[in-house]
Amino acid sequence: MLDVVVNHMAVPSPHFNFTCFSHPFNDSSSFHRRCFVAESPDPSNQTAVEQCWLGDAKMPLPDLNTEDPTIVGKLLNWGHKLVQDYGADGLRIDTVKHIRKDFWPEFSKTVGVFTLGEVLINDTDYAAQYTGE
Amino acid sequence: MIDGFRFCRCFSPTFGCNSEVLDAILDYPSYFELANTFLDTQRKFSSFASVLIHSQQKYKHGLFRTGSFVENHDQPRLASVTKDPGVCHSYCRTLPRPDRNHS
Repeated sequence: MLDVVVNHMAVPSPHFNFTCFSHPFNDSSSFHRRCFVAESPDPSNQTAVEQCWLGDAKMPLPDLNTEDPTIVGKLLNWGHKLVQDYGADGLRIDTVKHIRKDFWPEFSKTVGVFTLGEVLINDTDYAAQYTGE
Repeated sequence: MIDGFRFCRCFSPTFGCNSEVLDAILDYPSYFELANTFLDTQRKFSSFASVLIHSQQKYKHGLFRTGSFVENHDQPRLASVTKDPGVCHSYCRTLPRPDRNHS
């Protein structure tokens, strides 16, 4: 089982440049507009949870624009190739609640193996939404 | 066992093919209640039991297809919280093992 992060990148500097990331995500257009979930007026607001950034000014985690079909296509291809290249029989997926729910079924179908998501929350009803209705 | 996580590897051809969101999730709500139950000696186990029952009812495939775990790399390790081997043994054996019923 491989541990994967689909939602964001990481960079240990507040003064980073998007060009420091690897192709094809080396441009600001691949990312959501910078705003931090923790600094949101309502950090539990689901849109903020999904579209703002994790981390903080010192350690920002730039959030990939998973509403953009082009970005989604690249992530699907990456996931599929990763599983094929390494022969993984499952994926443990990081920060699941930080991407819209309707992103995941297609991702799961494309990678074609068992998917186990990290939904970091102390709320069973909230977490249950990610197991299907 | 992967990093304190135990899960029955009962793969079926449907995994990854017809999931509504994902095939399964890590059961953080039960983990938090488990950890709190052992950290707070005044806390009753009935509260933990209620959380487990709620998970069993709410998760689409109950606890059977759910990633139950006792610790992981993102949370304080048990050994950093207590040095009591008795607590460690009890803690790790508290989670139900739904997989045993299906083997």
